[in-house]
Amino acid sequence: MSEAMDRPAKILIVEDEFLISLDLRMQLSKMGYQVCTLAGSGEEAVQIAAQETPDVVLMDLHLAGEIDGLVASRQIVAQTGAAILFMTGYIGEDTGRDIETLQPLACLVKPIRIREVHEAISAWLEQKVAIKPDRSLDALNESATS
Amino acid sequence: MVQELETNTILLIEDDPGTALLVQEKLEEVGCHSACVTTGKAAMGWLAQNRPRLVLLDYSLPDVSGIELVEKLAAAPGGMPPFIVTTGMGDERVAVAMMKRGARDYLVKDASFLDSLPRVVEQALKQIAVERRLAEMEQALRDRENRLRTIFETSHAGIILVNPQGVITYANQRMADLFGCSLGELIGSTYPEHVHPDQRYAGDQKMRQLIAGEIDAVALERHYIRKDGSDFWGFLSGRRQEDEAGNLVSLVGVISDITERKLMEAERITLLERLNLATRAAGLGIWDWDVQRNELVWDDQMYELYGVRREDFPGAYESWLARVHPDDRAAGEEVSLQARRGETEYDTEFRIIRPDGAVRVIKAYGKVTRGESGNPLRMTGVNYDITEWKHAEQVLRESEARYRAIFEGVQDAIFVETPAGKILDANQRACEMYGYSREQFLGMPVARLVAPGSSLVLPRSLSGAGMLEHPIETANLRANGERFPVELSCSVQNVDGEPVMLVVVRDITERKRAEEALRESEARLRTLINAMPDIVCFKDGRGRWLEANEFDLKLFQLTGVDYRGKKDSELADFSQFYRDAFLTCEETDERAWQAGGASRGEETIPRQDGPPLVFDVIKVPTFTLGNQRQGLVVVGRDITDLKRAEQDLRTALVEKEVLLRELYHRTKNNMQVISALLNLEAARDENQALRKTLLDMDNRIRSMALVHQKLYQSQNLSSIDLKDYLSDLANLLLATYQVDPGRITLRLEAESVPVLIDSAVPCGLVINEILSNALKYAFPGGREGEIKIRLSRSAQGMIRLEIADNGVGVPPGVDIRHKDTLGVQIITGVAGRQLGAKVEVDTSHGVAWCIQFEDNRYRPRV
Repeated sequence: MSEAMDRPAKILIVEDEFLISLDLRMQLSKMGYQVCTLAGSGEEAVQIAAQETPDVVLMDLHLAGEIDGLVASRQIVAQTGAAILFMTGYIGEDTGRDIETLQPLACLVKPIRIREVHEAISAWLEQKVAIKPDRSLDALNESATS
Repeated sequence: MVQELETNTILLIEDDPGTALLVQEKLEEVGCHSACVTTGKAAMGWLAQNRPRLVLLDYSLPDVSGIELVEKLAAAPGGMPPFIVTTGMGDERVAVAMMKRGARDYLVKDASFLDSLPRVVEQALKQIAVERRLAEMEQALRDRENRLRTIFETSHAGIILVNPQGVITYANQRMADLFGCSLGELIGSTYPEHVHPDQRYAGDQKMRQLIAGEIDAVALERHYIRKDGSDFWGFLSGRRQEDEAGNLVSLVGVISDITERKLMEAERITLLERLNLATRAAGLGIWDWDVQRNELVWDDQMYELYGVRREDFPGAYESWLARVHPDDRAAGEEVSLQARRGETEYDTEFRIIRPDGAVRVIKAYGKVTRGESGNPLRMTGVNYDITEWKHAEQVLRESEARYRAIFEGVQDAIFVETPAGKILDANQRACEMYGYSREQFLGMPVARLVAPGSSLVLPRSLSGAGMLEHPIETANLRANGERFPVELSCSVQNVDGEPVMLVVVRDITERKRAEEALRESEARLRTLINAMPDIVCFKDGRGRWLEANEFDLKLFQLTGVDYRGKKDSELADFSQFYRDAFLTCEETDERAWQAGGASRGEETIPRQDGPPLVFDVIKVPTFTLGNQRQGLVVVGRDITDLKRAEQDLRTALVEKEVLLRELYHRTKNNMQVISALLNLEAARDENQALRKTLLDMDNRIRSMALVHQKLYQSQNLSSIDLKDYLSDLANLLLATYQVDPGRITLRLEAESVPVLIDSAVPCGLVINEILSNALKYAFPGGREGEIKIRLSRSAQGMIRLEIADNGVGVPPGVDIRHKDTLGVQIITGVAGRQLGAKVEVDTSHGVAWCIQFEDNRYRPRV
């Protein structure tokens, strides 16, 4: 994980509304995040995650296509260990519990604000550092400043 | 009650205690136990409870005189027991009076009273014992006499007693019946006068021997004569009855009527005689065979019998043999040989074949004449034709065999029984059915076959009256104790003059089991039907109710009504409230009949205590093979709740539709508000670039708003017709860009293509982008031209959208697809990625976009 600290966090955006994904990419890039190839479906997301190993996946829960956001997230977590940040139009009662098993950074309700995405990722990074006592002080400082 | 308490005690009735004590001591000495009472009243009380062997009665008692007491006791239930009277001195006269009233003896209380007491008592006791023994013997004798009398009087044979002088001293009723006179006339008459004159002396020898005691019994067939002069044959068995000294007291005769038998015998004799005469007259052939010389001589009758002419018969043994049936030749020769050897008589039967082919049965009889050494010299005999006889015998044998076969072959057990229920014969099936052998059956009382609790059926009279007219079902027992159900029929038949009972028994275990199984399955079915919360009703071919379940009966208020066999119109009288329902039902039944198959319909059934119920009613008519109406099954399910739910659902759906339309409408309105805001902003701003951008944004929003407008105007709220949308959007853009229709022609060639809402919005955005570009850039400086729009859908579902202008196009070397404008990003990104479309652009003449996609990325949501 220390490598992650040497470069900006890499984010995979999974969103079937193309124009929304364009918007998210623009805003995240402006904030200095590295953004992977845009994924418009669950299948694409799994494929791109395998190739580009994102740190965080910004995942739309309700995707058009054969597999939805939850299924795609499970596969990605199992394959790459990436952290998941869900976006959804609404949270159904059934998906709520399923989501928890993946321990997502957050579940943001659309329309999302890019600030919320940033805060969730920052908090996650801080927590990671805190539970790793063997981390070098340098790394700690670096993460705190970024 | 008194007799039960009989004791060995002697009762002493004595008012003087001293005397009583002395008497009791004296009695004790001779081994007699005694009890003592002092008054007549006490004596009465004691005797009511006990029975003494003897009473010693003191004549003078304080409360009652001896005579009075004896008279009272004699009238009491037990009577006066044997008693001896004791009197005072000088009362001998009294003693005599008491003796007259039954006293055994008397004792005078004088000086020798105590000494003579034991002797008098002992003598009285001995006398009592003798009397008692005599009484017992008399009783036994009376019993035996009664028994015998019963036998005599009910016997089927006549019984008489004749004294040595030949006078009838006793006879039973049957005897009188046999002789055709009354008992009074019979008794006192002499035996010989009843014997038929032709026999009056025939049996004398035997009878004399019997009377003389030389023989004990005789058994004779005697010819008797009745009072009216008619005669009958009787079988007499006679026996001597002697006194103890061996002297003849009387002769006992038992006579049974054998007239029938004698008649039959006589008949047989005459028949035989007649037959002999006939055969002799008609065809007794005589033959003579010289064994040594083998010369066979026949008389004319022989030729007749064999149907051979004299000249055709060589006259040798072999010529006879040749006429014998081939199958009988060996046996015929054997008999002949045995006769010649002297082993048997020549008495045989064989078949011959006449020249005309007729087969006759010949009875042959012959005698062998022998020489001095015993060698056979010749045989002489007769032949006669017994074919007809044989035929009759054959018929009889076959008939017997047939009956035997029926007897043995039937599935039923058959018993022949006496009227009293004793088994005389049983068939093989009976043995199998009951597990007894035929030997075990013979003589067995039929009661043993009757299961406990079942009644034994025996005829009440020999005429067969009281017998079963129809078979009954009862239970019998097998040898192993197993109980089994049977169907039993019996009749009384007269066989050879004897009434016998024929009982036919059928084992109905299987039938019972099948019936039971049927009953069980019926019960199960009925339980099931009654448990169903549905109407179930069976009707016959004429609409009469056969069976209805509880639900049905309860629903139509028929609980407790004897509905079976009634039609709906009749049942209407029982349930006034449902009158109309019943009458309607009869009509719908009729329609089901006429339809000839299962029919189904909803029926509304009113209720007194609530809203009407709706039933889904199925009526299934059945027909006989002859296509006659056989039955109707009516099954109805309460679908009231279902109907209500359906109605609720329909209402809810309508509400949701209204709501959805409203939602689309408002979305569209909101977008129009945004559009208006952008326009207002653009109008205020002097910056041309910004105004253009705002106009582009306005167009994009309006293209999306148009999708929502189309949606709320659509039928199903989930898809729109792309053709309509294209037309509307193009006109909208022409207006926006204030295009002169004479300058730029819009040519639309489209077929109806429905697209789902999820595809419609991106699709609208893409079309808006392409059309806007064409309108803005293809025809600069007032150029004229044309925009062609083509929309089609292939059989495989591929939607093909072509938008081509014949404008200025793009400068050479520029790839329009890679221009970094939002418009191009929308076309390539939204179409290519979001719709999954294949996007092509041809810039050789103007700009021509071709977008092909399948509307399958989203599924219908409603």
